[in-house]
Amino acid sequence: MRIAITGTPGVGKTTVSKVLAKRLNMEVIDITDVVKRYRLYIDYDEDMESYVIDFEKLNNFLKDKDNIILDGHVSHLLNPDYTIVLRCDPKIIEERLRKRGYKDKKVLENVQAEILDVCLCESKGKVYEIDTTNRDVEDIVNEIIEAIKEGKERKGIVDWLSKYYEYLEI
Amino acid sequence: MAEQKKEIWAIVHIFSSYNNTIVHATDITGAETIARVSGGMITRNQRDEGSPYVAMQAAFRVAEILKERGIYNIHIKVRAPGGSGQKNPGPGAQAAIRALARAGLRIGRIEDVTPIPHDGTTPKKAYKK
Ligand SMILES: Nc1ncnc2c1ncn2[C@@H]1O[C@H](COP(=O)(O)OP(=O)(O)O)[C@@H](O)[C@H]1O
Ligand SMILES: [Mg+2]
Repeated sequence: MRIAITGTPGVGKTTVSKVLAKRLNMEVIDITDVVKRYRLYIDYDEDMESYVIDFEKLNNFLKDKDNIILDGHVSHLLNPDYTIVLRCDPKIIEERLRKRGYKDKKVLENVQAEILDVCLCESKGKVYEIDTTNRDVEDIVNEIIEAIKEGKERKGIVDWLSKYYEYLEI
Repeated sequence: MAEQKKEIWAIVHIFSSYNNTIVHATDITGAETIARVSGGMITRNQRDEGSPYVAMQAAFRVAEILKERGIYNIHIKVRAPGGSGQKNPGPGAQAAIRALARAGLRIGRIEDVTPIPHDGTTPKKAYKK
């Protein structure tokens, strides 16, 4: 079983994945971490201040691993059996990414990605979406475990685009 | 006479999410709004706001307003994730683009400026801006 925990940076993937892994007794792989550590990238994009992921190398790295939780904003692209898409109010994501020290442009592009449902729209197969806004980690993890157990599928639970249109005009 | 024949260009921004599509026409600088129509203005059913049909109707309305203003030339900027295949915009955006063309607007550049999630890693290179 390969479970993807995906969503915009700052949405709470790593926080949720760690708790979920303990509860399910599974290993977590932090994609951002392994891509950097094992150099699974093509090059560095100065503009985005990010390494451009080499999906061939990354898939090869993950090839023999089973029973894993994939924590990352591209985890839904890594052939998971089940995808959890975490969502969070874009204003909260903005605050969290500012605290991380991202420059304005990087904060804004991620906030816009959350508003336009980018990770959700790219997710294929069995997908379960959760709005984590103002919710306890334990509470979120309980819902995920129940969803996985029952094989629940759900998409389209938020409409940030109507609410936060002004972020796209910038 | 020469003045009248001068081509006026607008930019049509198409924002398409899982549940909604907004079609927004601005002047060429992007600063002045000419028309803005959202899925919610087309249908009362929230579940339909992101559907291709609603996106098409929103684009038609924007096209009518542009033509009333004597604007027949547009560039398109699309922000729409995850259509079929990673390269294409979502179904709402594709329907909107087709509708703009069918309404008789001449389309110049179509630019995909869909935001890319990135922390210290990114699936794609940045758009050249
Ligand atoms: N459910 C939650 N409630 C409150 N704060 C949270 C929650 N989930 C995450 N956070 C906080 O948000 C920040 C970003 O979380 P993180 O798990 O690193 O996100 P991601 O891995 O998606 O980038 C962290 O400071 C974390 O403590
Ligand atoms: Mg993380």
